[in-house]
Amino acid sequence: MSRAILQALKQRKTAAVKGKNLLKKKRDAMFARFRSIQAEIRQAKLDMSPIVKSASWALTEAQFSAGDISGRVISSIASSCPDQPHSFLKTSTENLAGVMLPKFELISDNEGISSIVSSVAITGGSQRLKSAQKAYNKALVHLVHIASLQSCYLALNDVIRITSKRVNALEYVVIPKLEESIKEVETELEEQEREEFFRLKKVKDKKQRDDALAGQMELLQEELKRTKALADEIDKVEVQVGMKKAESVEEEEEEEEEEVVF
Amino acid sequence: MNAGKIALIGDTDTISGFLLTGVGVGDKNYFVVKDSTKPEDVAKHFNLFIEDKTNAMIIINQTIASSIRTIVENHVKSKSLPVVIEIPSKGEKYDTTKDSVLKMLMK
Repeated sequence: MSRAILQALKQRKTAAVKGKNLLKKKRDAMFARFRSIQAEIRQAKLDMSPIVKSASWALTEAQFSAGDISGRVISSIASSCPDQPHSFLKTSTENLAGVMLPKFELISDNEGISSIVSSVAITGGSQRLKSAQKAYNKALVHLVHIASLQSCYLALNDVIRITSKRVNALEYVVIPKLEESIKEVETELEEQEREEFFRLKKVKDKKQRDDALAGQMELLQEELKRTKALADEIDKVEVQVGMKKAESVEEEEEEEEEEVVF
Repeated sequence: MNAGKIALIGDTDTISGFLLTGVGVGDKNYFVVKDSTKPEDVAKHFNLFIEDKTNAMIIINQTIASSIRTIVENHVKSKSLPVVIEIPSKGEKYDTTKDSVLKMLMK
């Protein structure tokens, strides 16, 4: 547990919050697009029904004049374009906030398509057949439009789900965990600080007490010195006094001797 | 940019109508469903078409899609390509509540 770890944790948390906000923005952008596509698909699907209906009606009309052509159409396709279709889809992608959304476009080879009609309408009715073809082409274009929307919708659905999952994981798991660890480290550090403070305080107290004791010792020592000096002086005085007494005794003795002499 | 084919699964009229627009490739990318066709055969061809990476789109009649509904729904939920489009067949009304994609939309 150290300040370096705390710093690293805090950095990670900032990164996580930043990431979460970015992902949220991404999700919102997609959601807006998703909603509009949703509405478009519903409308397009509802529009599709009459378009397909009119196409099949046109085909029925063509069959009326050209006979039952279904079998002939099928066999002519098998022989005329065994490898490559005359109409196919060009798929490209559109980039929305880093997500590739598929986009379809119908590419038709007009010559090839007219050759289908001429190979089928041998017994006449090519005009009706052409209009049926037109009607089906219109239906196909509409279906391709729906396909574009549908694949966008599905791709977006996936991405939104994944993005939401990530946002939730960051918001409810990663960030709270990091916050918890940060709190833990912080309290640990605070405790360490308090302990350190307490220790320092104790050291200071002890030093103060030591200082005070030392001061007292010094004072006592000085007192002792002074007392000793005083004692010495007293001794000296006593010695002097003693000497004087002795002198006076001698003098007295001398006086006595003198008395004896007289 | 890629080129994608359009596969068809439907009744004879639907198939021949769309074949007129030139989406057919030989006899490989469409399957004609008759009244006598078993759902297992439909499922087999549907799976073949969704496995084929060159297919970008599958057009299927709704009544036929309904006979293999779970397979269609699983595909629609799990993969974005090829796109499955359900269309009404001749003489049948298009039921928006049955469409696999619309079902997902409504949720």
